[in-house]
Amino acid sequence: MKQKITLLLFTTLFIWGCTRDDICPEDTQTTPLLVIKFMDISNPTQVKAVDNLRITLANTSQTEVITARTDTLYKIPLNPIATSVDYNFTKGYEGTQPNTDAFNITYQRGEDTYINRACGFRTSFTDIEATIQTEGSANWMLGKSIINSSVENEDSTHIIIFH
Amino acid sequence: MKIAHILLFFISTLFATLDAVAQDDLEKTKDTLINKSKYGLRFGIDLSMPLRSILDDGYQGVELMADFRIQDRFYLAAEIGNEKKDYPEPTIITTTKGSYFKVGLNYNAYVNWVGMNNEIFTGFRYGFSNFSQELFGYDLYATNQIFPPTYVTKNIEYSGLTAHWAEFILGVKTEVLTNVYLSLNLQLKRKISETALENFDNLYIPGFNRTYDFSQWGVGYGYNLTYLLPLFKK
Repeated sequence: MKQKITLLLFTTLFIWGCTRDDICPEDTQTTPLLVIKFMDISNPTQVKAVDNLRITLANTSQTEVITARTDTLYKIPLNPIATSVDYNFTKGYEGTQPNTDAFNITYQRGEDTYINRACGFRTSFTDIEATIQTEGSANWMLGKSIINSSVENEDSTHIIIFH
Repeated sequence: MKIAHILLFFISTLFATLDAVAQDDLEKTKDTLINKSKYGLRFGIDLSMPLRSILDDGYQGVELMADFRIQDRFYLAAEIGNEKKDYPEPTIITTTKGSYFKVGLNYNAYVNWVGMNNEIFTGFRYGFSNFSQELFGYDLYATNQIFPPTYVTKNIEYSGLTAHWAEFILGVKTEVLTNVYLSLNLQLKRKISETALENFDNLYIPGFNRTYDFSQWGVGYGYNLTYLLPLFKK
């Protein structure tokens, strides 16, 4: 009997202790980020890395979103409470000739979806539109293409930027 | 040494003889005491729930219970209760409230000494809960901290929800005063079914306790004060 009680106590404590659903697992698809891919303007089927690209919010404090790195794929957040975000894309950051282009994204918030107890709710975005602020010859971002106008997850590219 | 052993032998023999004589005496006197055990309807209240209601702002609960001995070691047992539980995490703000009942059997595995009425018992219950859940709002979960969390106000009430579960109980019961019992028990529960919610989940089920995302199991405890109305003696 004593052994049975001990066993039950341990089982109970074990179940109590294993509350893995109190922490949201990192690999859970929560509110998705916008996936931007950079491609070559002269060869539009070819990805082309951007040299030391730094992405900041176009606010007064220039909040850093992506620390400068050379890559072809970047993921940036959209603000669920708003319907538009202004970004500054700085190419060649801390180089001799940094070039900043203003990039505006407008969107609608989609359905909120319940994930689980620990993660709570996520949302999605629809009707993605993007605008590169024209600066004439000063632009390094030369064109864009919306591949997927709804952002449900981060598995595929939403916007392609040619440069 | 040798003398000591011899003495021990004689003393033992003497006592053995006396003992045998005593036995004879006992057999002659007839036992007029009949061990009647009392039983009847035992009812009471859970003490932990009102205490928790005082200590925990986000909780209110009460549970009444009754049992009745149907056989030497078996008791028919039932609980009825009402609970209200807040879930005030920033990611989800919700309140669950509702009533439940549990019905089943207890088995007393403890063999009492004459005149004592204690129990080490195990039991099974079928549990049923009727409840409602109100979702006030939530912070949209985002992995980055660039934008402040977006709080979404909802105020949706999910009502008429039900849940069924099976429960295994293990506990002890002691008669602390004549006919007054204190009982402590642990409960291991397994959900059988529940009302599925559209785009939400039952985070708490009255009587079942909190639920787990990846498991149908639940746990609980009880600390009961009961009074036995001794209707029968046998």
